[in-house]
Amino acid sequence: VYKHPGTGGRIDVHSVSEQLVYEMGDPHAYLTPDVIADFTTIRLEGAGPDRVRVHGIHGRPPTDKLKVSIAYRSGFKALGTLVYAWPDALAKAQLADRVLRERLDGLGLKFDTILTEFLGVSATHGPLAGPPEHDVPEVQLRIGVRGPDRAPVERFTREIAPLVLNGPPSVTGFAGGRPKVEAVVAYWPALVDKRVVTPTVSMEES
Amino acid sequence: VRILLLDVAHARSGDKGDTANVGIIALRPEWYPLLARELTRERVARHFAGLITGDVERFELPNLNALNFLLHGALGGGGTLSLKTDAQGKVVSTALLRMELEVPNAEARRLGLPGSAR
Repeated sequence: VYKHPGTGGRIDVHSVSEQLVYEMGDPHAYLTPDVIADFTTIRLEGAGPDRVRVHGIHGRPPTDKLKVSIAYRSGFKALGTLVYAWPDALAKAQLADRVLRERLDGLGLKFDTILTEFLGVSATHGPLAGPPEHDVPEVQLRIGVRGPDRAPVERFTREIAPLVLNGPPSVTGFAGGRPKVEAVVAYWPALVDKRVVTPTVSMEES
Repeated sequence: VRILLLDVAHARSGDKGDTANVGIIALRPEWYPLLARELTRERVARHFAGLITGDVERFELPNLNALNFLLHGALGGGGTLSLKTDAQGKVVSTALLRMELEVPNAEARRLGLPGSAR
């Protein structure tokens, strides 16, 4: 693995290692259509600037299955966001979340999932981030709902704007208008017997 | 002495459906045995308690000075179903790097580990 000189970036054993472990499952058995690769046997060695020698990897014959990526419709979702400013941005966002959930409850709307995140505080690390060390400049409240029917999700999208006028103060970030309802196209990875698939190649000339 | 994992390892994460994978790589080959000893399946499961709904699987890649963890039920359904900002688990790696390891002083000196935890 190498790259042209003077093009920025870095290729070394560390960056190649990161690429190898990216989206890896069981490293002893990484299934591809052609081979089962064993990534515990691969060897990496620095071989000069921005150059890594890769060798030694073993594999086994592939299974008799192919992976099929199936897409299917799976209900609807919508995401609404509002930004609350200092002071007490997190407390305001938390209160807005409680108000909104009470409204949804009162309207009798049913969802498979309601998820609230506080961006700038805990969206990516959850409780591992701990409480903010100071009164943060702003917090984005991000609430999502998902369910089998469009109507309740549509109703949810009308409940964000009222929070601006009737909820905690110093709120902004709603210029984009009402959240959009999205149809969810879900993903179902499955295996099929190779014998039922016949690969063909067709060449088209224009 | 307490060592922040961030100071002794780097990491990359991604998704397979509702499972996040975190590959964690020692910054120096001589630090890999410490990671392999401290980062048990149970320890990582405790670290992510409340953030994942399923089991943790652990694989060793001593050839890369790396461990690979699979965190099942980490992505709120995964892919397009998930409502999470990090629906693809791209930054779960950094959440693991927050872990602190308790290392005996003598061992920390012998291995040349960087300072105590921040």
